[in-house]
Order: sequence, then structure tokens, then C-alpha cells
Amino acid sequence: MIEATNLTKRYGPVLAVDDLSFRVASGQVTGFLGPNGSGKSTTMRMVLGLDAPTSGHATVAGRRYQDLRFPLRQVGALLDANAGHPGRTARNHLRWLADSNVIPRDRVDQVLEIVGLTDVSDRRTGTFSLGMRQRLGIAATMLGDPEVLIFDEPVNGLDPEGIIWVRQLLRSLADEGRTILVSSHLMSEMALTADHLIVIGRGRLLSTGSVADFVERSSSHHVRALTPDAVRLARLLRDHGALVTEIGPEELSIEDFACRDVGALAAGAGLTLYELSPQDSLEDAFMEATHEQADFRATVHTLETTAP
Amino acid sequence: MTEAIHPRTTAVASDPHRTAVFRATVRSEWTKLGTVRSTYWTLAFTVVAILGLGILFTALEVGRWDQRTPQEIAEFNPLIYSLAGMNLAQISIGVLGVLMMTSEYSTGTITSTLAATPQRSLLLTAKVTAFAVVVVVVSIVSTMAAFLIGQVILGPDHGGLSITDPGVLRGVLGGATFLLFIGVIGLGVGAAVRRTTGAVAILFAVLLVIPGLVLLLPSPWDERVGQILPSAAGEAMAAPQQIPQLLSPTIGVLVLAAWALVAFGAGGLALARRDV
Ligand SMILES: Nc1ncnc2c1ncn2[C@@H]1O[C@H](COP(=O)(O)OP(=O)(O)OP(=O)(O)O)[C@@H](O)[C@H]1O
Ligand SMILES: [Mg+2]
Repeated sequence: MIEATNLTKRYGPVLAVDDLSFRVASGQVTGFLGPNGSGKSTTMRMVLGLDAPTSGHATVAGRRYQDLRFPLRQVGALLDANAGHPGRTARNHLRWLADSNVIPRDRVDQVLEIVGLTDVSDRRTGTFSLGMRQRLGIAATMLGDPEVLIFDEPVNGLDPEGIIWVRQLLRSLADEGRTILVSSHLMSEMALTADHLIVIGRGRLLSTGSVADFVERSSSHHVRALTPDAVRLARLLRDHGALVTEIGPEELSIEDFACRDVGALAAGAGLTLYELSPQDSLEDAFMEATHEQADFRATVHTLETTAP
Repeated sequence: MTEAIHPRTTAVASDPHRTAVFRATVRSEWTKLGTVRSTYWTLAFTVVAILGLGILFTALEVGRWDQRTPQEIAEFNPLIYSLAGMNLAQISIGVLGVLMMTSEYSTGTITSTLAATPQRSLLLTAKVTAFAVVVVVVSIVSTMAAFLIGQVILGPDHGGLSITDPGVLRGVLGGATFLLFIGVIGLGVGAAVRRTTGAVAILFAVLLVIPGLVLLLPSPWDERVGQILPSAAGEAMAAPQQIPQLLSPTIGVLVLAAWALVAFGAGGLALARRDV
């Protein structure tokens, strides 16, 4: 279990983490979400004792990280895949880590095997792609077979196959009863990976709860329909009390109606549907929750506003 | 407040634990040192400098043996000629010490290092220990070899010494100890400054630039300050007997140890107090 109590970190004028309290339970994947600069990495660094909190404290398995004896056997963390001496081979990188916590060196080959780096284990990590470095970083987290695992944006740089692999790995680690904290700003990724969410913005806790609850609470549900009979379908749905927006000549957005209801109505009226999909995406929920807090929001200049 | 949550008894404080963590950390630092090329390059440079310059200067002296002035004859010291390479070796060993800390920061390895060993003062002590073992072995072997080869070149005809002559063994070991202390100074400065360029600049200033500037001080301060600089203290340590204008070998060791302690302390403070 990971516990943060009133964690606060100030870098000069910047309040990176602001009175943040949360618990990360075992046996599930907990997603740690927030826009860029919201304090996710800083929080993780404080949990690992790398940065000292300005106030408050964090514990892992009930202890301060600094008080763990051989911490790699209890906590595995991947903060920055690019960290590490580029001149050292993958195997040697894992060897010094294993030595530092008296982990048998056989384990090095095991974790290399798990992440699929056995064939390149004697290559210098400076020659690795970002995806290979992520895999090496993940291998390092598993060296000590820890109960608690912390990942800062582990899918960054991975190809689709790699992303699915990480997702399955996190799931299986959680199913073994471990505590998994994984940060991301990809809400859609979290929808597929996490069971529980901690959402922060500007260093403050915005929301915590199960992924399902989160969507339920903060998102308006709507259904997207693609049909050649958009006008007729829209009229039909409105007659049944739906709020319909015509997005394109063949595209409708329907509020507060389930897919099955739209489909049944269309079938009853003999209307063709090309596509029918629920749009209660986490991305929307995330945007809604963090909109006010986003530090760096792009300003979109449309042609209308910039044209003379 | 944290004390209430983490009673002292559960902390790492107890001695058998600390010893186990310390030993593991020294081993780990050894593995680190042995798995990057820069270690081999700097150590190879050190050995070549000590042997090469020792042999070169000794052989040159033998070559001009008959043209020496009476003063040169009076001041001739075979040990000093054999250990002529120390001046260059201090640079490579000092840089190796610096890199031991600064490469952690430049490559981001420090994050993994502190995640593996969060006890920061223990970590620094383990680093110095791992470093010291390597440097002591390399510098004793190479200073001893430089001395022995130098004496073979000189031979009995040109004032060659034996290791059993008074002060000779102490001088050879003093030279090796000097290198160790310079390395520790480098490591301490590296931990304090964190950047390779800054730490190397400070190290070079102390070893190479300040000795030249001190000569400009009005007498007797040029001599008083000059003799307590690390390089001068090292020269005093590597001599078979006290050299005029330098400290005695014993005081030299103490002065250099004080320098090393200050650098190590500054590095330890920075590591303990600052965020990574
Ligand atoms: N060492 C530092 N010195 C000064 N400011 C810092 C430092 N580290 C982080 N910050 C600031 O703290 C805030 C939080 O940064 P942090 O890296 O924790 O965000 P994040 O949520 O991980 O962002 P991202 O999604 O981009 O990784 C930012 O405003 C950042 O500029
Ligand atoms: Mg981050």
C-alpha cells in the first residue's frame, strides 16, 4: 500500500504538489492522472524519497521509503526510461541494481526474459530505442519481486503491441495482489488499464474513485450514429424525447440515450445504420475534470478569428 | 510527526542491517565502476603516466649524469624522479573521483541509485570505499613498479635506492596515498557540484592553477600557503625525507586528509540536503 498524507512540494514560486492525500490499495491497478505539469512525477519522487516534501509525508507499506532496508525487494519504480549510463549494457545495468539489494544475479536473466530483452542484453543501453529502454526500466522494477510497483508513463514510446503487453503485465501484477500505481495523461489508456483513478490538477486532488464511477459522475453520455437517413432518424429520436445534434450530413450525436434504444428505434422505422457507438469516453470526463486546472492549454485560432 | 508513524526501532538504524546494506552497496558500486569504459581509460592513463614519466625522467637523468651541476648532484633524489608521473596521475585519479558522482547526475542514474540505497550518507561512504579499494590497488602497484624500474635504470652507479633504505617505502606508499586523497577530493567535489564541467574546473583550479597564483603572494605567505595546498602536501608525502619549504611527510598526510575530509563533508551535505 502507498499512502500520501498532505503531501506538499514547493519549488520556489511553483506549488508543484498542493496538500495531496491519497491511498493506493493492493490488488488493483491505480491510475494517476493529470495534465502536463500537474505534479504526478513530483508526487512519485516524494514517495520514493528522491525529493523531500515541503510538508506532509508519504509511506510505502507503512514506512517512509528511506526506512526500507532493501527497498528494491519491496518497491519497484520506473520514473524515467532514459535514465541510466548509456555505456553500460542492459545486463550490467540490472546487475548493479541486483547487487545493491542482494538480489541473486539469476534474477537478472529472468527479468530480461520477461520483458523480451534477452537477445540484446549485452548491448549498451545507449543504442536502445525508447521502447527498449522502457522495457529495461520495467525489468528493473521487477528485479526484487516487489509488492509495490510505481510506473511513471510506462507506455510512453511503446508500439501498440508493447502497449498491450504493458497493460496485460500491469493486470497480471495486480491480480497477484500487488499494489500498482501508474501515471498517465492518456485517459483512454487508463480506461483499459486501471481499476481505480486518482485525478490531480495543479498539484491538487480533483477526484478519486473507480474508473466506472468517474465516468458516471462527470461525463454526459451520448451516442454517435452514422446513417444515410440522418434527417429522418433525428426526427424519430426527437419524437421520443431525445436531444439530438446533427454533426454532419450523415452523423448524429444523441444525448442520454443508450445505443440499444437508438438501434431499436431505427430498426422499427426501417432506417439503415452504418455505425452506432457509445461516446461516454474517459477522455471527455478527464477534460471536464481538469479543464480549469490545465496549466498549458493550447489556444486554437480558427480561420474565422484570424482572417482579416 | 513522522517519528510517531515510524518508530525508530523499525528503521534501518540497527547495526547488522546497516552493515549488510553497506556491503551490498560497496559491491554494487564496484559493479558500476567495472562496467563503464571511462574507469578503464582513466586507470590506464594513470598507470601509463606513473610508469612512463617515472622511466622517462630517470633515464634522462642517467643520460646527462656527467653534465649535472654540483647543486643538482646535491639535490638529486631518485625517489622523486621515479615518481615524476604523480603530477599527471593526480589529474586522472581526481577526474575518476569526480565522474563517480557527476556521471550519476548527467546520466540520470542517481535516481535508480537512491531508489536502491536511500540512506544517502551510507551511499556516499560506500562509494568512497569502493573507489578507494580500486585506487589503492592501482596506485600502490604502479608507484611501486615505477620505483623499482627506476632503480634498475639508475643502478648502483647512479645512486639507485633500495626499498629498504630509510624513508623509501614510506615515500612510495605516501605517493599512492596522495592519489587516493586526491580521488576522494574529486569525489567530494563531484557530489557537491553535481556537474562534471564545474567539478573538474574546481579540481583543476585547486591542483594546477592556485599553486601558481600562490607564488605571487608576498613572502612569507607564498611559502606558508603554498605548502598546505594538496599537491605540495602530496609532494611532501612522497619524499623519503623532509624537503625544504615543504611540510614533513606526517604533517603532509594530515593536511591532505583534512582537504579530503572537507570535500567529502561538502559532498555529503549536498547529497543529504538537496533534492535529486
Ligand atoms: N526540479 C524542479 N524545479 C522547479 N520546478 C519543478 C521541478 N520539478 C518539477 N517542477 C514543476 O512542478 C510542476 C509539476 O511537475 P511534474 O513533473 O511533477 O508534473 P507531471 O504531472 O509529471 O507532468 P507531465 O505529465 O508533463 O510529466 C511543474 O510546474 C514543473 O515545472
Ligand atoms: Mg511527469
